Amino acid sequence: MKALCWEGVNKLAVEQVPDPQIRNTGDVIVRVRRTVTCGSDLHLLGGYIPFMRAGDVMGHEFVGEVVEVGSGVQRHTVGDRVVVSSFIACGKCWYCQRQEYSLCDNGNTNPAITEHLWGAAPGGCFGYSHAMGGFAGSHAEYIRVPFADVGAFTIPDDVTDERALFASDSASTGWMGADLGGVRPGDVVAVWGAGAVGQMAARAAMLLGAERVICIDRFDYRLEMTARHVGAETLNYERDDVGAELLERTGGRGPDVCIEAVGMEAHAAGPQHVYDKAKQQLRLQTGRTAALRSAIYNCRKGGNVFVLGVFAGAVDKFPLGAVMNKGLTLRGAQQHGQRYIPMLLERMARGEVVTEHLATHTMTLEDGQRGYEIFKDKIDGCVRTVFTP
Amino acid sequence: MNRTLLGVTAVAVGGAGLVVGRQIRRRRRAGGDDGPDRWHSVTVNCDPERLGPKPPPLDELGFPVEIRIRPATGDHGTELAARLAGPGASGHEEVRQLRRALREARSLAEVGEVLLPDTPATTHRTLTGKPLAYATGHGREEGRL
Repeated sequence: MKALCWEGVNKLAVEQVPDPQIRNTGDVIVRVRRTVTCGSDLHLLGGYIPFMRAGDVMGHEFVGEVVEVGSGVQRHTVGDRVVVSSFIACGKCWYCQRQEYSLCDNGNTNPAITEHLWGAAPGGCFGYSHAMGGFAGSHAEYIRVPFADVGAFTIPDDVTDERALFASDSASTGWMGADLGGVRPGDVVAVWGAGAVGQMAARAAMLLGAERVICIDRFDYRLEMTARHVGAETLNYERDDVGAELLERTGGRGPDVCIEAVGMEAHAAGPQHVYDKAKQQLRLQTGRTAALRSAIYNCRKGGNVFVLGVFAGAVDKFPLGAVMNKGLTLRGAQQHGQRYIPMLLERMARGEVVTEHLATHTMTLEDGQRGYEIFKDKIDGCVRTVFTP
Repeated sequence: MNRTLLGVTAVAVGGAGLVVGRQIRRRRRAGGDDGPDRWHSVTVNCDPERLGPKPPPLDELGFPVEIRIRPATGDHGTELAARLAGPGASGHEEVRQLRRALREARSLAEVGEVLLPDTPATTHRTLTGKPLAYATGHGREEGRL
């Protein structure tokens, strides 16, 4: 089959790779109908997560059709149209039973790498390096989905592929940020990053009752999209004084909940960006935290900061003093998609969560390299590139 | 730029390998892995009775092991611990097998089977991919258990 593979730093290619096989009784094979780029893929592409091998299939956010089922699968049959959580979870371990699916004890076949890096291993993830299990990604004609009864969800007839696609990761990640970030009715919520995840976090905060939601980015086209499709207020940090604006809009308190939806390649205005980038390129730090620093600095006393963006290791200039002295609660997680996807599909069917606007570009796998280039460089108003294998 | 990034990434891969390797060596020096008294442990989300006295595949190891099963604190389930027993089992390789067996015992008890990796893991065999291929080949045998 055809697949879009990582070949090295900033290098992708379409290759012929072996078709996936049923390996466990709970597996299904899915014919991929739509699969989408994600900002976290850029960390793999840029070599910031050094656990990729040439030939690894990229992609973790997708919808498709079940074409083969393992003997133990009960909830799916051939022909089902499904959206699949990007994280692989067994549904039976202590973490899964607490609905912390991305922390699954049984979903990562290579736990040693992340145990050494982080102290304990999270679950596995499609197309996200050998540290996360080495599972083939979704930028391919077919994909093996382990624990399909837990992680694959039948799409209601009144939800299109184009909308359901983003329940796989972006919408569920965003919802988790607002939910586990503790958004309550009446809150003011600020979201750093107006990409797909940031927009979905903003939408989730609104649906959970936040009184004001403010999205922060530097790209006007993304901010305009957020205002138009999500209904959030916006700030451009290259033009606006974010700190002063947030204080003004919250009576001098700061936002109750601050959600960071940027990750380890954050951009910043001014010389701190040059400093951060130089240290990252030299691997003196693995992530740039400008957005997280701003979230922590601007959060109200006693507020909550949730880290949705992907970070891999150690970072520099982390404002621990602000966290401690302002009494902040800092939390983060990879997404617990299995917890949120059924609810999101219902909301998608009702039109409460819409996502089609995020797919600014649609192309075939053969255009994968170009698709990632325009996504990475934010050319032509790109928010997400969708591939149709 | 690509070449620079490639070089930096190669250094990073090597660096990551060194960090992991150093941690493993430090642990060995401290008697961590190979210390005969060290218990290696997983917590299984089930009652102790369900595990039995020597849950598979711990019962298939080719060297003697001592097993300890006790309720975990709170609602965490059951702590399943094992350590090498006797003179026939004292090396790093045995500890690796023990670690794998513990992880697999948890999967068997909780899920009924052990999740297998995709095959083939990747389609290219490259020099730079060799350290990672080795690491993933022993993915359940190393770690912090």
